Amino acid sequence: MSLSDYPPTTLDRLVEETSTVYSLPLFYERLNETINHPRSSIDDIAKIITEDQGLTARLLRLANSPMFGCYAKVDSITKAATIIGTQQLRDLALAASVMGVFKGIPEDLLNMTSFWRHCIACGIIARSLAVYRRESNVERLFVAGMLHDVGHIVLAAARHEVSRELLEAQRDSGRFYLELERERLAFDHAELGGALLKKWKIPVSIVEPVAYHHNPGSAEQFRLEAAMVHLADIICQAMELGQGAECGVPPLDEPSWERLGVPAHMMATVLKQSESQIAETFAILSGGDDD
Amino acid sequence: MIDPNISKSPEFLEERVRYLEESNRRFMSILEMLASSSEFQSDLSRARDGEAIFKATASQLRRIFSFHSMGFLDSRPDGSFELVVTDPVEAQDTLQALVEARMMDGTFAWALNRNQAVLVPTETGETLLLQVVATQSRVRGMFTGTLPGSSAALDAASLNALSIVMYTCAYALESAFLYGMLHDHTQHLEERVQMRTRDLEEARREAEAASLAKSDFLANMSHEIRTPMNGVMGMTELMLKGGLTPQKEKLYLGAIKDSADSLMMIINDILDFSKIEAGKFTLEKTSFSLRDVVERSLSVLQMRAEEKGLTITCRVDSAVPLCLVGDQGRLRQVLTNLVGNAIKFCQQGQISVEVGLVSLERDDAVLHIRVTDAGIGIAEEACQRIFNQFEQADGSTTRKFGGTGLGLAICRKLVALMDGTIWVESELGVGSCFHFTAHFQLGNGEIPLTGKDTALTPRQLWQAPLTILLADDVEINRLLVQAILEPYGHQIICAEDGRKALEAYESKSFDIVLMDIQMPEMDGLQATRAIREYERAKGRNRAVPVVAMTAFAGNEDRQVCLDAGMDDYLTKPIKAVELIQLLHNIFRHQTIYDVTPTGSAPVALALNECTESTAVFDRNELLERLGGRSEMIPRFVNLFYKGVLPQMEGLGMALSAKDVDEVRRYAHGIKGSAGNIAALRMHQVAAMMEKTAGEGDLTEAQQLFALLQIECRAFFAVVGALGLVSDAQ
Repeated sequence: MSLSDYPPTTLDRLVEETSTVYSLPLFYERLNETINHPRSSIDDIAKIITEDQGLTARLLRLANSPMFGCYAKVDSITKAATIIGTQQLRDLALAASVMGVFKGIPEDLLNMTSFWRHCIACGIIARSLAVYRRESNVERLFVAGMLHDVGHIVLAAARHEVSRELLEAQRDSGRFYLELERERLAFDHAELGGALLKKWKIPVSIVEPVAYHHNPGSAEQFRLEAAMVHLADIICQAMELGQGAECGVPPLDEPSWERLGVPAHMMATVLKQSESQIAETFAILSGGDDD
Repeated sequence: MIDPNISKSPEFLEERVRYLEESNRRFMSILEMLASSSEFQSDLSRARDGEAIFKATASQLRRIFSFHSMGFLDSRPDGSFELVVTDPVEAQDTLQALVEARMMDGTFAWALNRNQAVLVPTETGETLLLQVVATQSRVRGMFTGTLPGSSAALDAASLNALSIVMYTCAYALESAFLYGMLHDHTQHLEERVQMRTRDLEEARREAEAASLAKSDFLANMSHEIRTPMNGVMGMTELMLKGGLTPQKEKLYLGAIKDSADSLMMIINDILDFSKIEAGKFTLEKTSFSLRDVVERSLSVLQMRAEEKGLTITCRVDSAVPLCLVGDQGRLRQVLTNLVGNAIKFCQQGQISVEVGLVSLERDDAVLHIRVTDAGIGIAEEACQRIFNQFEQADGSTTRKFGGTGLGLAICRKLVALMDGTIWVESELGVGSCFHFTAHFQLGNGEIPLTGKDTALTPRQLWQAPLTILLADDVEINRLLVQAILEPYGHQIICAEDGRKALEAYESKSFDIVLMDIQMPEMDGLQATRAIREYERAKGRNRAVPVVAMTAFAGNEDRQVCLDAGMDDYLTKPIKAVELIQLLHNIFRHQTIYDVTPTGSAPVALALNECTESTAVFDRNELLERLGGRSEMIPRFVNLFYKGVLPQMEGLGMALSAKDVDEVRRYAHGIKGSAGNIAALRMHQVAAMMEKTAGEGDLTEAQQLFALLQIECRAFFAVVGALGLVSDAQ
């Protein structure tokens, strides 16, 4: 089958195809609704999560991980919900289940281990930046960072050949993957990821940072969050923490750096805090959930 | 999105609708709360402290949350948190306990690091909410509240709204804090500016006052100088016209002298003052009798006081040591100035001078001297000011009482040089009391008999005629010295400059040389050196006394004179009293000395003992004899005086008659009386006479009698100086 035989590769089409193949676990929507229901209780929320034992275990391990640095042992989802917060628990649940959604992608196209390591590192650094800035609901930054390159998987899963073609072009030319995507497809992995998450009814505060992580200035509502993911992505590439969509270090968007207002000397502290969390979080989220 | 597996039963749909309606209401109320935040904002902007901000925040929160109780914990600089506001107030203790429990288990610390509400169930079945109140830069506090229900999972929208409100609250707190800091700073700055302005204003005022005082001083001074100058010039002119009766002439001359004296006083004041100001002033260190100094200072002023009908009384505490070491001249100057002022400003009554001892430690005696008058007094505000230069109590004082306004300033500086302080207590119309303290060293107990300032009056002085060489280039000065000395029978040879003086000295023998310093051809210092050189060349064993006469009045100048080989020093203008006293001082020793060359062993022995160790008068020995009753001393001195004079007379007559027995008898009587009164030197000389006369030897008797007379005068001089002579004398 030649390249031209594929259905036309448009953004909408890819999203449509993918959302039917890969869907979010059922619990996510129920969880969301319960959390926003004024009459629901923590017990209601805990009940939904604990239906998935694998998720429950991952969440508890996460809640007790250095990322949270929590004071006491979190031994129940109820306690996690009270301590971490229900919205935050929902975001973590999304992060803890999304890795299991994408499967069956050829190893030569995408090294899943290296890819998710990059994504988790990006999420943790984005969250650390948010903590440093005293942002509220920092878990959404973790999720946004974790999902920032999800478009890359989507393309690799749905269009093996296009993906391979792009990877080879990048290897040969040494140009930015992003530019090659845009030339070849007229859209890029960030836009694609954002579109999929939107389709999944993920909150805009997570969708936008993903969709605009290469050009945060274009985000409509969550420019700051987009900027944090943008910076976290660049740091991960520069530090070679895993392997994302891009090969080199993407250019830094100056206005975003200005907007964040994080002093350069603080970066070392933020990185140091993040580094220790990356390996453990990766181990928690990738392991023990193979069914 | 609805799970297709759930059957869309009517119950389910009903529940859906209820849920959506409820959510809608909820969102609406949250939106309303947030929309009405303009009211919240204006409340916050009015609030100036944390409590007001917390209250405004609490009332905003009440719109969407049904808190049972609410509280705010304020973040303290030491890292602690204090529950400052609770609503209702009764909830204080409960909330405090709940929060403390959360502090113990670490939830509180966890909540501090989360920028969103942390919810924990309480034991009473409620839910405790903790939400940090923080800006991006720092934690300002913690909001806490209790909500009903054990599982009060607040919906996400409400919690976000809470975060928004608390964020606003945190910034309001930060603004208030910064505003407060700015306010304090501004306030502080204003205070500092005001203080500085006051200081500058004060400095400006002081500078202006000083400048004004200086101008006033100059004006006063020129007035002060011009007034006596007018007197001198006017009177001189009148006299030059001639044709005056001797009485008139005497009157005019008296007026000229008065004017000249006061002019001298003014100039001395100015010179003293400028010397002290220039730091060129050093104190002398000689031993002196304090009682003597006080007595003499007062005796000079006595006449002026009597003219105004004032009496001066003086009391020196018996604890004050007899002999002190210091600058007696400057002490006199201060005392004279203060008593002089008292006389000036006093119209009637009594001026009292009291000297007390403040402390006596090792070598250091501190005296406290008080001069009290019943004069016009000094206004309180002026009491400090009058010690400043160029200042008097007020400008009119000068016109009324005259004076340069320097006297007290000089006193203050002199007293400071003596490590003391000077101050005044005064009441307008009642009188003033000037105090000063001064440090002196303790003397060795030997009361100096002679010195520049012995209390002898010219009348009392007995002086053999001397041959005096006077060197001065100014004729009037020579005339003055001649006029002073010739009445005493002295022979005076004049020289117009140093060279002529030297020539005169080489051609003739002199008893003393009075030498001006500044002269043409050869100055006084050069001439003195030449004289000393000449003496050495000629092998003269005894150097002639050379006394400088100079207008330079400092201790350094004095040293230059002494270094050139001079013996003593007189300050121009020459005063008769001082000149006579000087001669007396020098030739008192000289007279004794003149006796020695012919003297045999006993006389030499007597002289030796006299001059070296024996006191003219031993007050302590007398006191011991009187059982410590010092008040009896004057009476005994008086008795001695009455008894010893006839005996001296008798001795003289016996000597003339060469009656050995009578000489021995009178000498014995005098020896006894002198011994009783502790006139030790008289006792010694009389004993010597008695002994030689007892051996039938009168060869030395004449010389010993002369010596006895000298010692007798010396004794009365000393007891007089010590104030031990009763009025009856």
